[in-house]
Amino acid sequence: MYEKHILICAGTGCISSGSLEVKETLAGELKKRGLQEKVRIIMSGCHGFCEKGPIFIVYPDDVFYCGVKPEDVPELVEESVLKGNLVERLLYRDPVSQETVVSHNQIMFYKQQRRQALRNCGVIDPENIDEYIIRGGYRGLKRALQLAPMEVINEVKSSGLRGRGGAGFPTGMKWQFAHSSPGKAKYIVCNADEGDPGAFMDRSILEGDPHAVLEGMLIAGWAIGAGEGYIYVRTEYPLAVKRLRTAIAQAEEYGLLGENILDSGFNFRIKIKEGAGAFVCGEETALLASIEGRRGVPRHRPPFPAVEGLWGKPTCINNVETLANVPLILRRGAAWFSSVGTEGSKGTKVFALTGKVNNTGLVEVPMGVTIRDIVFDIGGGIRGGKKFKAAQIGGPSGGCIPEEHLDLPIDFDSLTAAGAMMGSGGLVVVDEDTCMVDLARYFLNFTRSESCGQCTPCRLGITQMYSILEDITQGRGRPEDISLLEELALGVKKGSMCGLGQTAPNPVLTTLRYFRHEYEAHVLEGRCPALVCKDLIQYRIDPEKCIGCQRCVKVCPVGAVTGEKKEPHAIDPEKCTRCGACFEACPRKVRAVQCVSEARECKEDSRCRT
Amino acid sequence: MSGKVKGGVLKMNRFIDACCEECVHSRKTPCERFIECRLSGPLCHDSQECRAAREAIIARVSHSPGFREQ
Repeated sequence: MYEKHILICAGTGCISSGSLEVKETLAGELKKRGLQEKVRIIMSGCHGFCEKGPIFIVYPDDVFYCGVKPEDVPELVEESVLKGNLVERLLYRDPVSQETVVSHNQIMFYKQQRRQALRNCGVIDPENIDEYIIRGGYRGLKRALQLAPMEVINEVKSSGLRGRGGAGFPTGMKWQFAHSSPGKAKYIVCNADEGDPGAFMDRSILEGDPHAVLEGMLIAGWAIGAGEGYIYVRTEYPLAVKRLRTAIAQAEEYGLLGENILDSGFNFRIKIKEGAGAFVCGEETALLASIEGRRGVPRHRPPFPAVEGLWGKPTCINNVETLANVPLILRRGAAWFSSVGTEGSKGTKVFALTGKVNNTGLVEVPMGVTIRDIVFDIGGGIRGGKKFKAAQIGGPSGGCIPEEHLDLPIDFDSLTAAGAMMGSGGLVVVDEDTCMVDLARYFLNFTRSESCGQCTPCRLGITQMYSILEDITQGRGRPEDISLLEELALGVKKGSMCGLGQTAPNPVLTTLRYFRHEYEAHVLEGRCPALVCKDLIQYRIDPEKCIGCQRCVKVCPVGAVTGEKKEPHAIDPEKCTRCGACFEACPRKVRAVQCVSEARECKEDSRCRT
Repeated sequence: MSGKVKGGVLKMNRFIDACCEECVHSRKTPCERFIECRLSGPLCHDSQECRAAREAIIARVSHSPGFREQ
């Protein structure tokens, strides 16, 4: 029996912060002290508080340490593990009250969260199936196998579960379509090709609780009559692939995958197919083409995959987070699941909270929580005391929600009404220093490069939109560009074959809707209000503030700054590349170097944009 | 079956290990009640030792009061 258990986060975020080195040092320290039989080390999945990693929790004391380095380990073992004392400097400190917090449940970041899909992430060793079973794992499958397939489908329908991959299609309804489709051979496919930049919701579930996904697929397979499942996982997630392979092997060993599962007569096998780096393969028909060994391009629908999918057979494709919720629904009931959330959006949603907030990481909240709650309570507000400007929800397919909608409840329907979409859960917070035109350009650049090129509206329309945005951000924008951009965006949305093209214009449309004044400033005044677009800003030195320290002269890479010691310096605008090095070098208490963006007369431009 | 033999009773290290020769669950001969049995069994026979073996596995990994499924 272990006296202490130490959970170290082994999610990809904390690994990149050095948690594996912390673990190695801890293992060595325990061995040195002869404590291996008394203290257990668990490398868990993502705890979510990636901003504060590496995370190190001591149980059963429930002491949460953050930002732990290998050199901290001896003190942690001596004081916290052996003596039960707190190592104050490594505890979380509330940024407002400055008080230390011992248990992670008392940290504001976690308090408003409801971790259902993430229930085991950061709690169990994801490579130990017994821990998954002890925490209720495979009891959902057990119950499902005691019900008829349609009873299982009705349970999922009653729960109100909607797809968590972005479209929000009712999961039970999708299963029913596949169940009703004729044919003996059917498939379940887990879409683990999480392509949105910065999104890591699915990755964390795959790394931290892979059996939840397997159990969800098993239940889905029983419901629709499938005997085989595929997990299509991006090859850029090697840890997730490793954990999945381990979990599948364990489930097969335990007789929970394979033939005659739990003596039910139900056979189900799961294979892994790794993607090859194409964002478009997150679209279900492109994904199926990829599994079949063909080029990953979407096709027209109907027929929908539930009728004619993988190798022409009825196929149900579900997202990782969707599947992770399914065992809970079968284990605890549809009524329990639907008791959380809003009328049209039941349950919880996992978000990858990133950008200009103090607390970045992985959060799971009940549907209906407001953007304000996430950004300011969980996220700890805007970094550096800056002003909130917008939240980009749904990645490159989503839209921006401005300050006026901070109290919008997060659910599928209210976000759609505001012009955005839930998407897969990426939530990027931007502040006053973000140029919304440049942000739209950034996302459009991504979808432009990821377009499969098959349909003209997407292939050429997005390219033209990007070209216009480049012109606008580089000071070549024309007054008619704004209406042209809008027209193109609506055309691409309507005319594209698949979800990539249909949603790519969303960042442009929402920024035009809520931040049109920024577009107009760029185009009509040649000005970037956020001081981001290099071609529209200038650096100058205020001679009355300059103390002549020459720091800016020394850092300028092109010799654009001149000035003698103790004499006011000057910047030659013809030579200046607007790199900002002089601005960073100028002492904070002096702030003689200023970044400005002044209105200028916008000239007509007759160049052809092709 | 796997696990060491101790006084005629098999030693369970993991849930897949048989607790004793009464247990027949394997991938080739699955037991319908495998999951419940491992958490609150044994179900097909009565044995304090077998019960203790399960509790030991659970206790070894339960790091906090709320660890086990509520």
